[in-house]
Amino acid sequence: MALFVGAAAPALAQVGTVEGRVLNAQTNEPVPGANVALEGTTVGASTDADGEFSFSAPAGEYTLAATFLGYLRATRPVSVRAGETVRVEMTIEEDLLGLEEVYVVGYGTTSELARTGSVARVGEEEIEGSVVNSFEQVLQGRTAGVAVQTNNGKLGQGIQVRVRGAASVSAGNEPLYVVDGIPVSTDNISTNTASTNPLAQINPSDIASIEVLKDASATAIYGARASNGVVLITTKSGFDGDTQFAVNLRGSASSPTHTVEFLNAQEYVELLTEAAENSDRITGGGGYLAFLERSFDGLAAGTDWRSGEVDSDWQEEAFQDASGFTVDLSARGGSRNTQFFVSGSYSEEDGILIRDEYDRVTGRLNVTHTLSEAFELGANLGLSRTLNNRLSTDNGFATPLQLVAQAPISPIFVPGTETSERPEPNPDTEYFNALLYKDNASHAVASFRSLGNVYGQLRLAPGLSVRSEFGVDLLDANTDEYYNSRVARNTGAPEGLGVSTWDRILNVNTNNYATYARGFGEHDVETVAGITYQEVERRGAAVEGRVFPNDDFQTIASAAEITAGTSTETGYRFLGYFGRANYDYADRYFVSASGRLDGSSRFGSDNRYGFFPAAAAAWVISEEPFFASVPSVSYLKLRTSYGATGNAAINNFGSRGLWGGANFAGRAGIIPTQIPNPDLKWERTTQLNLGLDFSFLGGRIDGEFDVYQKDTDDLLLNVNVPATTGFSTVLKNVGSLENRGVEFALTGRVFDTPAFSWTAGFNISANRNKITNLDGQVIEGGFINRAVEGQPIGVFFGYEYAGVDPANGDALYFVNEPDESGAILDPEATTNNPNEANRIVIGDPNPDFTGGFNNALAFGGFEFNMLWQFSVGGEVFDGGGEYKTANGLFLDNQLRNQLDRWQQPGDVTDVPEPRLFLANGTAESSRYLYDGSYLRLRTLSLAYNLPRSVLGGLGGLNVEGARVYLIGTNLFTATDYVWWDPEVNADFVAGNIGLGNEFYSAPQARSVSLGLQFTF
Amino acid sequence: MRSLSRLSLMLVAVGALALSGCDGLLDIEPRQSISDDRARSTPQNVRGALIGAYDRAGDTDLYGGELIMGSDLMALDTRRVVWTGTFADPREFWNKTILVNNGSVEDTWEDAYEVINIANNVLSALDVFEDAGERSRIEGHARLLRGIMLFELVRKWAPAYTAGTPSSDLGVPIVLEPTEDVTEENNAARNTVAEVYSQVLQDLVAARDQLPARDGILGDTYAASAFLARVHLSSGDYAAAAAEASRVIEEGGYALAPTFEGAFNQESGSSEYVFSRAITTQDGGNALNTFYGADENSGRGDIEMTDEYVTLFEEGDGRAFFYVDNGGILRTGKWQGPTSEGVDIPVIRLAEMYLTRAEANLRAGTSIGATPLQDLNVIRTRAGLDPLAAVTADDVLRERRLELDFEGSLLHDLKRTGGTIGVTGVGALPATDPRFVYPIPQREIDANPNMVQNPFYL
Repeated sequence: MALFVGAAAPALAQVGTVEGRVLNAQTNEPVPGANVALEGTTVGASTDADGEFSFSAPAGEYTLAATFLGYLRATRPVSVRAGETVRVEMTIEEDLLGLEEVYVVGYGTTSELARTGSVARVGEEEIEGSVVNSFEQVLQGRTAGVAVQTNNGKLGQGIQVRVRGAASVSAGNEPLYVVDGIPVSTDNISTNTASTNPLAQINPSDIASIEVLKDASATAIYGARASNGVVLITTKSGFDGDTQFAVNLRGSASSPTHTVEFLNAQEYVELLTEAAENSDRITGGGGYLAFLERSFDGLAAGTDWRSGEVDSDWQEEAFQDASGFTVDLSARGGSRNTQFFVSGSYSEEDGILIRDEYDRVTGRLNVTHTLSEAFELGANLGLSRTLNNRLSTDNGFATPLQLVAQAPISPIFVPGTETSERPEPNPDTEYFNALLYKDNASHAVASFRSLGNVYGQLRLAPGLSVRSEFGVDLLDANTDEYYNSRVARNTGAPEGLGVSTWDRILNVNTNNYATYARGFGEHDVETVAGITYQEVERRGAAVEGRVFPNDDFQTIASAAEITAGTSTETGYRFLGYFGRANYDYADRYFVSASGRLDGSSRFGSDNRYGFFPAAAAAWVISEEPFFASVPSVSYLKLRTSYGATGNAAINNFGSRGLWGGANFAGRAGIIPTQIPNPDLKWERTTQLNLGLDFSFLGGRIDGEFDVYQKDTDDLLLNVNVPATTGFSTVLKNVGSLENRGVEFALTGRVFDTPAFSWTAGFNISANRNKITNLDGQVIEGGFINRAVEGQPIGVFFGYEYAGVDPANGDALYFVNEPDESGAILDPEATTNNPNEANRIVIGDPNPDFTGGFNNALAFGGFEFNMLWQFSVGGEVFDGGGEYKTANGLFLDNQLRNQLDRWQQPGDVTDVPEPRLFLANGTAESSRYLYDGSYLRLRTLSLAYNLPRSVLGGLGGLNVEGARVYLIGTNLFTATDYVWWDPEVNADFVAGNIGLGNEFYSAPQARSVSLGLQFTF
Repeated sequence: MRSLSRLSLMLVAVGALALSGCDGLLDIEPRQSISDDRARSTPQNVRGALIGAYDRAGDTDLYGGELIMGSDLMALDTRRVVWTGTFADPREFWNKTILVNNGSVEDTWEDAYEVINIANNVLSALDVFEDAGERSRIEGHARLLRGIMLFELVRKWAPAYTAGTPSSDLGVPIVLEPTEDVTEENNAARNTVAEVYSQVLQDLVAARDQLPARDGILGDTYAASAFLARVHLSSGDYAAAAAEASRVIEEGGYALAPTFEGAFNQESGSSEYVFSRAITTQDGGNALNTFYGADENSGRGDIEMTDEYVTLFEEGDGRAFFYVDNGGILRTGKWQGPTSEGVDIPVIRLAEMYLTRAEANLRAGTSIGATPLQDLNVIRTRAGLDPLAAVTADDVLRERRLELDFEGSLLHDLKRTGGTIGVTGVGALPATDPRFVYPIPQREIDANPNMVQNPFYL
């Protein structure tokens, strides 16, 4: 307890005054708003408009430090004598190299200079300059080594994020998300097979920075869940100064980035008639034409299909003119002891697909309070409610884009009602008419989220403090689905169907750790040690009812039959002990070591704990005396790190032998659901990283270069076992894979004057994923994706299409018969029977490289920003190809390019002869594989900041800043891809292996937003 | 300052607490499942496992429909019945060319062995029952399920017993022990057709002898007899087939529905059903309704009957008109009861027993229970036809298909009797063609080095 008494002693001593001024070292101008404080204490003040400061302090010898965002820290020794005033002039230099830029890392922060790990960062400005549904999308194109894949253009849907490639085959591949120190729930709460994205519930405008930890030195402190990288989100905080209010109003309009061309009615009739005639010819009169004409009569619903009376553009009906608006209000400020940030936000966003909607209301309060010199406490609380009107999965007849399969000879609305106030969608279409869902079905998800944490930090001695954090993330979701009698064709419920689902995920987390930091002359040491515990409980219930009195009743209360009900409960726990020590000498040599011992309830009792150590070193070469002779290089740092991380993203009771409930027509039963594996343990990834940070010409050009090798062993793999055991897979630690890659980022400040500035940035990364050992297994996903040894995860495995036989119009496939060594015997041999062909690897969904480049210009009050993002070399397989590019196999409407079909001997084309119901070229082959490379103008923005002279005229309001801006999102895409959008992954098959698939998937929205921002 | 010291004490205390009692924190028990050993240790759980086995046997991949539909799509002439749906798996059946990765084939295989494994779990835990009567009844059920699953497997994945060389033809692996963990010993090899039939008979005879006359929605002694009749008919033991069928007809207490239509789409089953998959609004899917069902009956309407199919029936046959007509497109009326209405799926109807007895008696030259003519005329009369005066084996087979088409019988009848299957553009293929034997799923070949593929798929 002596420590505390010691700490308390100065308060009783006599005090003196410290006053002075802070000046910019380059311009000699005063710096307002800078912080001046005595090191090792909380005594200090900020400078006023003239750069002046003054405060009283207990008598003693101190180091006075001046800090300000964007400036290098400056220190001077100062002696405070009782009753006297000491005046100090401080000069601070602009931090042109960004060396003091603060990076949030696990359980602490570091600076650019001291950073030994590989960390990508996105700040407030980039987040504010983007219009996104969920904050991860801001990372796209801005961060090297972070691949963000939105499944489709539906709002609130799952997003895949891969940090340095996929590190697992069967376990999770998503990074760990940590908001203000607390790992948050990212569980999908979808009631269908397309996942939702709970991170979209966080208001992007509340975020101050996003740091993505990529290498082992940065992530290992998160141990067992860090193999896929860690994303740290820091929300905004207050400051010592006058309260600043900000208002941001934004409206937007969206449309699809791209539409495709289908056959019109005349072309449709022509192609299918030809297909039926061909089938009749081949089968010797199988009645195909008669059948087709009967079908056309039915589809035309009484209109004359022969004369082209109806020519419906079904695709147009799938989309809507979408609009949205956002209101953000915030206030931040505080005093020296108490600082706060409060915000409220409301946004309403329509999707480009009919019925798609996402509304969000959020509120946040972040407070810190310094109780005394030794004790600080704080709380962050974010509340949100989102409402998402969800659509069917991409493979559902009711998903709007499946409308394109309908025959163009079918009227969209019941003839006679088109012009009425409520046109009635035609129910007699080839497939269920998804337009019927508009007024007759709903799937509304209301999610409530409370994300909060409190902390206390106690300074026990100079440099030594302990911090205790407690966080709760409570996610509650109510999903209400209702389908009335008019959509019975799709639901099979002639008198209405309602489903009400409730889910709750309670995630409680506590971190307790001590930090000790001290300098000894040129030596600096910083250590952290602590323990962390997380407990997650997930519960849910659902009830289904049928037979409603009429279409006006929608709650289950009025259902005559309760047809299904369930309740679920599961959970998991993590307990971790961690430590890290950093040491540096002369701001030149840095070393860091960390370790974490992590335990999880998910593993077998013998293998619960895993140890994950990491070490790193950095050498700031430019600080060496010998380097002074290279004036054009302002900064050069070499970093390296090596360490281990884990992955535990498997089912909660993955190691147990389990039996679960299975009822049989009103009798309760049980069945085995999982075979035990008490040896189950962590999947382990070791990563070696080598990095170079550099800056030339006094910070005009800076950049970084990283190269890494990431090896994952003991894969948590769902191993196929003979089904004769009664099981199809067992979760085992089998196999390994690797990711290796390079990342390069460069920023150039081309012009940097107050009148005109131009900053250009570029980043590119290439990751090579390879599965090195799967114990000989082949694991399938998507439509034809596979995880197989020697190949990157998710390669497409299918027949190799060889085009069309000019002699007879048959689709041909390469036989690709391998010999015993696996070499293809005759690469030229073809067959028209897919069963005689061999499937091979025909493509790879993983891009060869991805990246982005941006330009930011500021001129007078204008700011112009442009971000391009690209992805090169990834392929996309169209799982719906066998229906929509099937040369008239079914009654589905066809992509217009099917008109290039083979018609007579000698025709050279890629589209085989149309044959109704007789498959010709529709096997899953490379015919349906497309290059998914693209270059996209992700954001283009133009802003104008009203000059102060104008603002002064806004009498009495004291407006400090006003800004008008225009942001365009996805305005332009360059691609050879034929379907809607190359940035796609069909939602119902998206997964670790299910990559790069198309299936009537909606494109991303192209939107233009106009906004107005005030601060006062 | 006091408050600070207290606070720091609290922090230290919290830390210490966290560090001490930590290990136990990670021990949590699942709430929705129970552990492996518990499942076999109490009578309640073993009874539950038996219900679980019935549930899996009623999965849509098995008696929930696809097992039945797949073989019909294979056996029906492509000119008479047309698959117009977009699903690739059933289309492969209809094209008479199944690919080795056919999902439906894979699911049926997996689910059948899942049932067998659960049945084996039950059989390994019979000791938990103190009451000998209950022990015997539970054993009967488990052996019934194991027997019928092995039978379904062997007749789909191997050549017909009567058309091949059962003593050397490869059947399917016989698995009689519950799976507790998976090692190389679980790489089961295929037994011969004769060995599988022998195991099936042992199981079904035991089931017949141990099951009660009725047991609610579960199988019973007559269901076991009905399956035995099928097995004997398949293996050419006609006297035994006639005897088992006769037992069902004479002692079983079943009755033909007054009309043919009345035998289908019934919510609480029918007096005609000897064995059925019970479906309630809350449990059970019906793949037959999904694919055969017309739009308005919540089906996909993927299978159509052509005019050529309807001409199979002779004039006056009421069964010819048992279809739904969607603007000239005809679909069988048998599977038009939506799942949501809890319509049971018949697996064996009494009508089949009459036809089996007729054929078996005819071939054995016996008249067990009744003469073949009498039995055949029972079925004809119900269909609204005049009785015949004389009967041949061909008459019975013809009647059999008119009565049982779309119920999964045709493929096996053609295979065992050397029939042909018409394929547009190809002509009539003998039903013994190796293409009419299912492929071992590629997944299984990949996972089990001892598994041997069927000839057509090599």
